[in-house]
Amino acid sequence: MRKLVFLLPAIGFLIAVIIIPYGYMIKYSFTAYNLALPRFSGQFIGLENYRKFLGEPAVWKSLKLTLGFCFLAVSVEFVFGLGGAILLNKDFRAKRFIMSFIIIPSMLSPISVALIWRFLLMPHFGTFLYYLARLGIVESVDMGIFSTAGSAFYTLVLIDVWQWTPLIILILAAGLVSLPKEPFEAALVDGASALQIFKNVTLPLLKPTIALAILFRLITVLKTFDKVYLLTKGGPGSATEILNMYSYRINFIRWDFGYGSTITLFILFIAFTATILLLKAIESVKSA
Amino acid sequence: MNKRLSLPRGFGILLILAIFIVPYVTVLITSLKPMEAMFATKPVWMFRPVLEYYFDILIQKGYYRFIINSFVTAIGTLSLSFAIGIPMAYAFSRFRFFGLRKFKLFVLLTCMAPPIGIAFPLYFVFARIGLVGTHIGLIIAHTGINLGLVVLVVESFMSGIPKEMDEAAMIEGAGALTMLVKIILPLAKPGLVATGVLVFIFSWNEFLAALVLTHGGNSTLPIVIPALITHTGTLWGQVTALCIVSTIPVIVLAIFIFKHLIRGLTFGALK
Repeated sequence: MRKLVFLLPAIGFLIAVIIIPYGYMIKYSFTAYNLALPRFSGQFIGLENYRKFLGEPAVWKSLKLTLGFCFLAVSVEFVFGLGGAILLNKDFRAKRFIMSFIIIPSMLSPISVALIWRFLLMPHFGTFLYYLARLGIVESVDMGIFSTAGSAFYTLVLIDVWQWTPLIILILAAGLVSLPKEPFEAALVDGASALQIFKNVTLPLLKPTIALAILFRLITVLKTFDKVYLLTKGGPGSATEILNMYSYRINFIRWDFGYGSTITLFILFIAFTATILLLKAIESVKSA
Repeated sequence: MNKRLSLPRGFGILLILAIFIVPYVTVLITSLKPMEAMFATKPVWMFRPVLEYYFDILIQKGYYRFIINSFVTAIGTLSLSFAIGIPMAYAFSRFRFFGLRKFKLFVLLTCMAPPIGIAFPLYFVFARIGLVGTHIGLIIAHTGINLGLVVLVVESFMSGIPKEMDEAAMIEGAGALTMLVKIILPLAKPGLVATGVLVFIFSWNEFLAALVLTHGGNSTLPIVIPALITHTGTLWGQVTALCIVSTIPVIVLAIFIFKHLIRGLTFGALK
């Protein structure tokens, strides 16, 4: 009985902070509730919000953008992260020192990261933009990287890669260090080439760590918001309006809490499903 | 052990270092450039550094209060999530009860949700009880988002502490609470430090909940930065200075705690 006392504050807190607010959200998703339009102050309208949600093209576009962003960013981060971890997989004198600097982008707030890149890539005065134009990667210094649909999206992906690859490097490097030496020695004795060793020894042994890194990243990339808010607010038009941004716009710019609740519930549904699926995947990889 | 690097590997490492450091350092350098150097059409790299932007934004324009706000929120979040999370982690690791796995999953899910999933519902609850725009409100929101992480990481550290210690303590007549405070906590210290740093960094950097739940004088640092970038023009010197200032505590913590961080992340999660 005394044991329950340990859990009570936590349970109470969770009820007050999660269960009750979610309850409100579910309730509002069935009403027409718009703070900016007083005539919509909570009338019950059944599934109207949901019908609207399913038919709204902006929703599907946003979903597509979000999924595209997630998979693209995580894949690139994984590939570069693995490369970086392999490069760093040798104990050398300044290793600790260098690694603590490499990790900096992952430690910065997404807002700082967004600001750094906004500054470096702004038209006319952006420092990096100047060099990019000189190298011919970008046509001219007048280009608005964040106001052109295609480049805005891919630049956001690249910025995300810049921010999170160091963390992936860190996780994978830690994993590499903890691998047992015997399989590698045995492979060398058998005369395997570096590539063969990598494919048949390193990768399989590293699977749990890789799974962890990818799981962690896939979950956290769904939370992206700050960068989009600062850099494009949803992009030229809605070219970078990922789900979080869309929900923000409906809720806090349009103040349409009824419809907004529906969207937020959808986002939560996706996040939860993704978490559960990926947890199951981790379980099966670990036991394999 | 040969601690020297081969040329290609060393070059690769330097390249990686450059990629991840240069953007940040460039902004740092910019925050020190005098006006003429900042807006030249061709980037200027030789100049006399000035600190005027820092003084201007922090003191003259009074932005130091936002630093204090962020700090208060982060410490508050740390305290609250530890106060609630540590007993919960202890219960998870030591007690057996019905529905443990489901409950753990629920707790995990709460920290996997995108922040808008917590900030938005909390907004209308807080609006009714007048907590919008207060530090407490934001602390509660941050704790809500973070609690899952705290509980899970601390719990995995606690599970690593052998149960024989518990039995020995019980023989000596210690109750559950004494056991927690006198035995488990000191042993779990590295994990607690790592978790504490993570929570602090998270709260310091957090943006969406702060944007939604605070405003005006109570704002935290991350949300005042975008507000300085307006359609009518931006004071880039001040903005870059503010940005650098907001990153200092985090970088200091990260470099200082680097060793603990690795252990905390992989040890705790790779259970």
